[in-house]
Amino acid sequence: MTDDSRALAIEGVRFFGEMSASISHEIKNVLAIINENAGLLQDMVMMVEKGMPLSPERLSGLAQSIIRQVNRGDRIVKGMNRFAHSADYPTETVDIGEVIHFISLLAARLIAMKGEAPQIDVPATPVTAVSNRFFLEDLVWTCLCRAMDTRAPDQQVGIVAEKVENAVRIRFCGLAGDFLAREPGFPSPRETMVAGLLGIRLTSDREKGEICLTLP
Amino acid sequence: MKERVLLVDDEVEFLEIMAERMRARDMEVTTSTSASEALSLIASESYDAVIMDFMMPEMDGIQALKAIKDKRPEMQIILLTGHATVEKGVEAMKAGAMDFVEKPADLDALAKKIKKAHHQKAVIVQKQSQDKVIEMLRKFGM
Repeated sequence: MTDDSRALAIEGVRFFGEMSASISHEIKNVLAIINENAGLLQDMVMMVEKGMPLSPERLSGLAQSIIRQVNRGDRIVKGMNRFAHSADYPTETVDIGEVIHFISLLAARLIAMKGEAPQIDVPATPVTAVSNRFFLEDLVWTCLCRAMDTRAPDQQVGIVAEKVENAVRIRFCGLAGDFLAREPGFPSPRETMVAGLLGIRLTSDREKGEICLTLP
Repeated sequence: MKERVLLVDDEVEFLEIMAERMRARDMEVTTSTSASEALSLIASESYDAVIMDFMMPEMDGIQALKAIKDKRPEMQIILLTGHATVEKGVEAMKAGAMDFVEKPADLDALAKKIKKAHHQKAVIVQKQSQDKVIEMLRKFGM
């Protein structure tokens, strides 16, 4: 194994771990709510045993809460499964808008911890490129993190997917103009490596406050 | 005397149901969906225990814990987390947490910790009062 492929393998596992940790946290939250519902049902049974009346409306409310959480858990697990299958093919035709929406949904909690969710702007007609889906998701997430960590005050981060001449471009907008000065390590060796693997040009525009990914 | 608890979590359903169960156990419970709101509440109200999620938007549990301890050192803080690792636990305890509990939590076990928090807070408040008296006596040369 060459140094490059070893570094890439490590990066792949790191990204998978980061997303898996976030997903498992979400699942734990779902389980915690179901656990509280079950606990409340047990409390109610004890109250009934002591001769207190049981409200059918209250029971129905608890059942609805459990159903809501089961549906939420199901969505989370489906997302997790879809993410696990991202690495199935070395290259495939990828809908860029779909990748952006998927990553924003998959990492919703991590995004919420960084601030307001990004504004996503993708054309109605799918913009596609041939790429490795897993590492493209990694690069989109890395750039989104950069954008959210260095966004201009009172600005919402935007992600725009667009077709330009013979390429596809993803722009991360709303960064502070001085982000390059504040982020001397941009692009990092890790970002350069993943972009290089995918044949993606990773650039930044200080004046516009943007990071750009240009896919062939 | 009822234990006064501030429950902080961005999961609204979790907050509502847990608060209902705690109230049924004769606790006085206030809920908050964010660390910033919790910080405003502790500025004007006194709680025996603040039970707070480790991972929240805006401010994470450790940051919030430090901010609360800075303002109200007597308040006892119990952090709730999806995954209780040794590293996180050590970090929380070093920052001044009373305890660190994994979700889903056993409410009866948590209730025991809240009683302990009530007792510990009372001891700290008593010590703070004694220190004030000693300070005053020193000022008067006694």
